[in-house]
Amino acid sequence: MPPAIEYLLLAPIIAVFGAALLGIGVEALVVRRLRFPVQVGQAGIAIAVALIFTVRNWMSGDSRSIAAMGAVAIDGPAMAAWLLLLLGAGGVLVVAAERASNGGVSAFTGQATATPDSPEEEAAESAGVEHTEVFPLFLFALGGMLVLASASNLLTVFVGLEAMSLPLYLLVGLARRNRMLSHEAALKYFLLGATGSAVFLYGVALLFGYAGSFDYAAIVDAITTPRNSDTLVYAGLALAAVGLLFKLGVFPFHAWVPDVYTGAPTAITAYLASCGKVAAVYALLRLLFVPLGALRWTWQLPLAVVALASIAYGAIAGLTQHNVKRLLAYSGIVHAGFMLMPIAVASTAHTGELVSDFGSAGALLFYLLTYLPPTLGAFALTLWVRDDSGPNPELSGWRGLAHRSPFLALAMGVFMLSLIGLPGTGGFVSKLITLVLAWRNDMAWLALGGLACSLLAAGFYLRVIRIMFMETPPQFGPPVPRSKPLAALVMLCLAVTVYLGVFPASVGDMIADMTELLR
Amino acid sequence: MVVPWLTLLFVVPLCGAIVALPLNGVRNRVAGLVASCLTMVLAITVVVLSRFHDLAEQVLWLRRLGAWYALDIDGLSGPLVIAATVLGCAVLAVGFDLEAVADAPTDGPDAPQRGMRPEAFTTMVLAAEACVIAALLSSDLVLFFLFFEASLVPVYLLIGCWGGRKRSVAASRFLIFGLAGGFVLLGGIVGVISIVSETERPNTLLSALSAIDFSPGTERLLFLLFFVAFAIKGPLIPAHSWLPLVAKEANPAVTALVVGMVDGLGGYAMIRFAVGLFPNAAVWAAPGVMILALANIWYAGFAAAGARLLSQFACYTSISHFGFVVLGIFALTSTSVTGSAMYLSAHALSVGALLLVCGLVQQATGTAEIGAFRGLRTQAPVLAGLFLIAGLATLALPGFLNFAAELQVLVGAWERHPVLALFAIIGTLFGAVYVVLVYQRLFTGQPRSESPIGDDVSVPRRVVVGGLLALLLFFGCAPRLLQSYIADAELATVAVAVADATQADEEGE
Repeated sequence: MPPAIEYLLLAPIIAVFGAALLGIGVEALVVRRLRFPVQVGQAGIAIAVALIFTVRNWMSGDSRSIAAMGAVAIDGPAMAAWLLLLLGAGGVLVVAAERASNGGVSAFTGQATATPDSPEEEAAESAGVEHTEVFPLFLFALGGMLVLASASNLLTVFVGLEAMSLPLYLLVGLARRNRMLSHEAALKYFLLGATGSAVFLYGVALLFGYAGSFDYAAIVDAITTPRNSDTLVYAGLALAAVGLLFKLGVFPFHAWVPDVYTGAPTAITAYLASCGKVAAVYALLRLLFVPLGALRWTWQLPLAVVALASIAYGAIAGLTQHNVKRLLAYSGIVHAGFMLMPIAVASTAHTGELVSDFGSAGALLFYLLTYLPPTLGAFALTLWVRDDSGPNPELSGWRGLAHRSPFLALAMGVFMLSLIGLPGTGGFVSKLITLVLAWRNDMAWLALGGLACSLLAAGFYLRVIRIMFMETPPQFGPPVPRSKPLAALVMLCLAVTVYLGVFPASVGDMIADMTELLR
Repeated sequence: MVVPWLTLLFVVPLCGAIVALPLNGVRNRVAGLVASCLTMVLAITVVVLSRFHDLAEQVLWLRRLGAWYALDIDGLSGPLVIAATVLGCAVLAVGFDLEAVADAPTDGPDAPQRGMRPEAFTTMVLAAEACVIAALLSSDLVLFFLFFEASLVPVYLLIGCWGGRKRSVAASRFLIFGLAGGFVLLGGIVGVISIVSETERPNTLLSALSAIDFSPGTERLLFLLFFVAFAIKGPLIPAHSWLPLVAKEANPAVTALVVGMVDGLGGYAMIRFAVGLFPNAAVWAAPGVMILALANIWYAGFAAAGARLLSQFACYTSISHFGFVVLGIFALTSTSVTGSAMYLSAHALSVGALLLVCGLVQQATGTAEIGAFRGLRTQAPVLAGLFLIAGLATLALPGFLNFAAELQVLVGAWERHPVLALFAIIGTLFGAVYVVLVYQRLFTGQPRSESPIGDDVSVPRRVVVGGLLALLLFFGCAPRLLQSYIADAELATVAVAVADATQADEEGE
């Protein structure tokens, strides 16, 4: 009997992977001159098609089910994650396709095989060669993220994890400028990421040993009617969760984050910081809530401690950074901590009379929704601030930006305010929702601790604002290039950030529809 | 059609802020002035209308947290809204030279950093004004916090973009204190919502929250969180250290705005939120807070007498005022609370006027140092006169609104704690001393020949500062107008009743 596959439900994944394969064909068949626009175009179309199918499936409410023989759960959170991933990837694609601010070539290296500073590299550079394979790789990673966020089977999780990570290891090392830094970042990311994967895989093996199945539903049954030693399931839980926390990049599994974020091409950094986090945190949510939900008394406290430690560490370490990408990396560590907070609280949404919060999944979704636009927008803006050789992520290049480019400074200012969580931006509402959720579920210490640390974190975001608005600009900085797609992306991020801060209720009710995990 | 008067009241300055941003030069100033004057007229209209109609607005904002977009105006917020709009007008009308810096050489390595384009100043003043007005009008806890916190951003930029050499340090310190207070308050608000939603649908409307009985321990914790946040804003010692630095570095117009407009929010919120929502805890904390207030009055008195810069001198008088406000609030008699509410408006106008005059001196002489000049009176008689009158108004000379307010505060405090009231009365003497001392040092005596003062105060500026002082004089001579309006708001009635009962118990024993 052939396996039953719900092609319509899985259409977004199929579209993305299909386009990735097609992209490899494009490399072979299309002339070099046209490859770049064709690749970008088809990646864009693939994302759009996947988005349309996701929205269609979400609108026809009856289509929630476990698909592909129990491998993938197509439920509210999966839809939410897919929407976030696809929208985020669309934004990242705009950043990745940016050539104008880079002197007319893409920010990815022309010839990855050439040794840095070698004659071959110079030849490739002067010939204006571009690696357009980055776009199929980008799509493969996206497909992996889609799978990871909705996997309902430990093996599928692992497949998604690797499908996401392997292309990313490559992409991180492909920066055109500062290639040695980029290579170092790729190596670091690969070594630590592979370790994370191995740890996760060991956890999977232990859980399989305990339950006799990879399937989430079977694990739930095994936990409710125990047959094997508890040690197996606790060790499996710990290792599998740690593997995912590695990918999420929270303290104390964050060691790769700052270097990788700094060394990678800006588009890939934005990809890691936005979509990478979404996929990992959703995989963690599902793993902890569905198969291991019965053990919540075990994992809640450690997870809460990790969340708070992550917020505190990111906030303190971020204070001394002087590179915008690195600073945003620490910002990512802080926010990853906040993303863990709703999971650690483990609350299901109240329904009926006491409609008082979103539950963990809803709060997480709102948090991600308000975290992605400012993060993406901030990374896009780092392409604009440049010195003579290209985009310059050092904070010193941002001095007095408000004098040179008021729009840019204003946009960056709003993104920073949203990341702090100041009122009027989406960051405030999501922080409020998350903190209320924590306090309501008997974790007042977590809420107050998180607040205290975010005061510290405010320090480093404010430094960016201070540098932009209150310092004198360098005498003759090169002009800020105009790039319409990038400007449109930043405008969109800005609009969403402010809109979510002023009219949060409009999406709040939609979100309530996306919080029920299927098992 | 129902006109959303209260929404208009903060949307008008906000629109003015946006419209003024791309305009240059004179147009920018005109746009700012028109917007701020329009707001002032609108504020007066709204206050008058609110005496006859219910203008409250209520729309559900975020259902799951029970947060409303709810605005209302009453005797506590009304006068403060008018004071804020008047001050906003005055700050824009005075139009200080934004490039002028208090104590920096004009060239060399220590040269001041270039300021932002002056046109942005108008926008930020109007934005700050809009935030303050909206915060005053909010009758929902979350909405109040939203504007309370949002007001930090324009003020931060105002301090940091124009002013002395260390202005960005001052701005950062202002913001760090402000954010610290804000996050403490947010902790309190999160607590309130969480505790409320355990038993019923959360609702952060003030009317709903004031009906809730918290357990004593929780109430005290929440009260402290709220109190600390508002004490930083005030500021109350020991959380005051940001204000003198701001006064030193910021443009005098900005200092006037910070002290007169934004700090008033602290006192306002103390009456409405800290005492209004947690009356029992307020009675519990009252003795300690009153002693703190007294310390504030005394400390600020000594510090003002020893201040080196004019603007710092003025900001210490402001700190001393806040001490009186807090004393009146936590004396918890209806007389003293009404007096405190009145004091807030008097404070906004009088310290605002004093700071503007200090700014005029600074602009005319090029320095803010008190000891740098003598005998300015002969060269700039109008300036000297304005300074003296503004100074006397801040020290609560009878006839000014400050006197009526201070008297009520002291009478109320006397009823509750005669000893503390006595110390506060001694504190009022400092006021007389420090204003006269500064006047004597700066304006009297033989002028030094080299004092490079140009013209006396120009006529428009005379009108602006004179207008502020005339308002103080008018309401000072007819305090009943304001008093009856404020008394209608029935401020802190529960806390007063509890305090009365406690005192009766103690006397019974």
